[in-house]
Amino acid sequence: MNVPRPAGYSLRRRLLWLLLTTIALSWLATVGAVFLRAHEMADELFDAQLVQMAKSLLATVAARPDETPPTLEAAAYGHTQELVFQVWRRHDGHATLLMRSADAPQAPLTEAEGFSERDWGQQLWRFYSRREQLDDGFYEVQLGQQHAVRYALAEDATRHILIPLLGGLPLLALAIWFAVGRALRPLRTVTKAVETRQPEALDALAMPQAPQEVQPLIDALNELFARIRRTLDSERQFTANAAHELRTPLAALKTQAQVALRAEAESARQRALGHVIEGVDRMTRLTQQLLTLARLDPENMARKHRPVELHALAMRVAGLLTAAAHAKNIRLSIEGAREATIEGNTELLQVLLRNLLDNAIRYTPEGGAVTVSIQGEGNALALAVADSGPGIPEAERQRALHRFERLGNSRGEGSGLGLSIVARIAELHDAGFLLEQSEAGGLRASVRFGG
Amino acid sequence: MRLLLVEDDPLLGDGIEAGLCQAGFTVDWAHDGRAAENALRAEEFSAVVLDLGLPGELDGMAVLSRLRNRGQAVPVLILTARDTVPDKLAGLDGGADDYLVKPFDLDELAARLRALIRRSHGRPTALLSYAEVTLDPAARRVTANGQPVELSSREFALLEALLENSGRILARSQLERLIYGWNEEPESNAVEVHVHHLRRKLGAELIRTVRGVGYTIGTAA
Repeated sequence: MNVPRPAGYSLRRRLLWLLLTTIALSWLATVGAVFLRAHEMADELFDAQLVQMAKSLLATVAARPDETPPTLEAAAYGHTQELVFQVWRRHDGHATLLMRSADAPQAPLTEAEGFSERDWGQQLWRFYSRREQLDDGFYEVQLGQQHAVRYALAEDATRHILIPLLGGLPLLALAIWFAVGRALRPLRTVTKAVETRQPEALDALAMPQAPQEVQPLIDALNELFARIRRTLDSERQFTANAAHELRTPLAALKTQAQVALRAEAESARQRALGHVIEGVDRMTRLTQQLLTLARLDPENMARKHRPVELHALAMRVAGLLTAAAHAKNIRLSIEGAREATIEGNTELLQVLLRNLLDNAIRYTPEGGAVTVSIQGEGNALALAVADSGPGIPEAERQRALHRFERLGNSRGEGSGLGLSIVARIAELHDAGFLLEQSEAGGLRASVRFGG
Repeated sequence: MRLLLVEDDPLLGDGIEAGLCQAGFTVDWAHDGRAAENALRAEEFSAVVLDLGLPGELDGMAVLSRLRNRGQAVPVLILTARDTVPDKLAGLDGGADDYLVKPFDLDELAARLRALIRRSHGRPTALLSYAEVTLDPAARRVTANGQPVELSSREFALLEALLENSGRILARSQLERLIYGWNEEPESNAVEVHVHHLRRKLGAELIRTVRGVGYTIGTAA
């Protein structure tokens, strides 16, 4: 895998960032909510405290108005500058400051009644003012508290949550990194298994422990392997058959030629040379068949279809083979419709019929019969060649159509190309090609045009 | 030296048969696996030339594996069009002793067969000799005391068989089978006649008659 390729994204990194961002955002929302709530609670708490203190102060003043000192040191009420207070008495239109905390000003802290907030000495303060009518007039308590106190509480609470969360984030990232890596391990296992394969190893990947998400990938790969294996097998079979069909006659030629060279008796030399010629004839036939087959590939074949009269075609081809049939005392006959015209390529159809008849005559024993029949069946026309030879067992008929495939009963003769040529020509005419048993127990090869 | 040739192609089979006969072998030709199987069960051969792609239910590899399963050690040379390495491995590991791809050279085939037969007898050199008689199977030459001796092909085959098995007694019928193929019908006293000629050409002491059993060269155990 050294080929440079556009970098895809890393599933692991993407998952890491996605998960971390989601988690961090949800944490932030949580912390925000905690802060708001803590602030709210601090408000309520401190407000209640202010009210409580105001009440206590009023009660103290009301009980002994003259005994209270005018100012209280911070120590006296336990708080620092964050809290200031004043107690006023309003009588006959003017107010008297009865009491105040040490750091409280002489002027009133606030004009408003109840709660109010304003900046004071560069800080935000919250004030509370409470008035009460006592026997000798109006008393008013004013309290002020630095707002920061409340923030501090909420901040403190928030910080206590935030710090462990922030500290946990890198740990979480690490955990996610390893967990995702672990989850992706089956993918790496598959990759490794495929990578380390020998090129010729095409058996199925066996990974019984693969997770559900990876299993479809393995299944798809295995399906692919099986397809390649089937293709290769048939290629290999073809090559092996072709090698046999091409090399055997060449070997025979060479051997016979060497025998002729070495023969001492003239008769032996003549015999061997006769065999050399026979071998050359065989190679010629084979070459011709191979060339025919090559020309039948669709790219090479211009589809020149013209009306072809089958009966005339059969007469013509049978005429070419009469001598061969006669030599084996085989009765060659043509039967069926007088007028049977199809659209097709005359030369190719001639090759087709010639191959069928050649085969029939070759495999039919002396004194047998070979029949060409032309039959109309509705729109369809069937051209068939039946012989009284040994036939082909049903189980082997499909195999008979493969290139170079020779069957068990054929001995030496033939190249195994004839029927595959016929099948190919039939295919180019959109015709069906069928092998079955003839009435005489031999082979009946029929080609069905149209319909 | 009697060979079994297993080849389905008539033209090639004929050529090999003729060529190997020219090289001094006696050749029996089986056209398919079944015939080869029958011949191998019934008779003894010095070596087998086996084609792999045979018609019928028994192909070459099946013939070979059956032969070896029966424990028969006869040297087998595979002669085939299949030239891929896996095919060669399958053939050699399947019990073949040599592998030759078609098309081949007749001289090479004959030489390989001679080598296979030599090795099957545990003999390191190409020459067969006893006392003053030396036989060169490749050159088809015999010398006695350094002088060339003219022998007919049957006499040569007979002498070769006896030298190949020196120290063993060979029955007359055995010798007959070794020097005559299936298609040849020897005269009833053919072996005696050939032995007589050999004695005349090479000296009377070389071939000993073991009465009632057969002939031998060397000291029979």
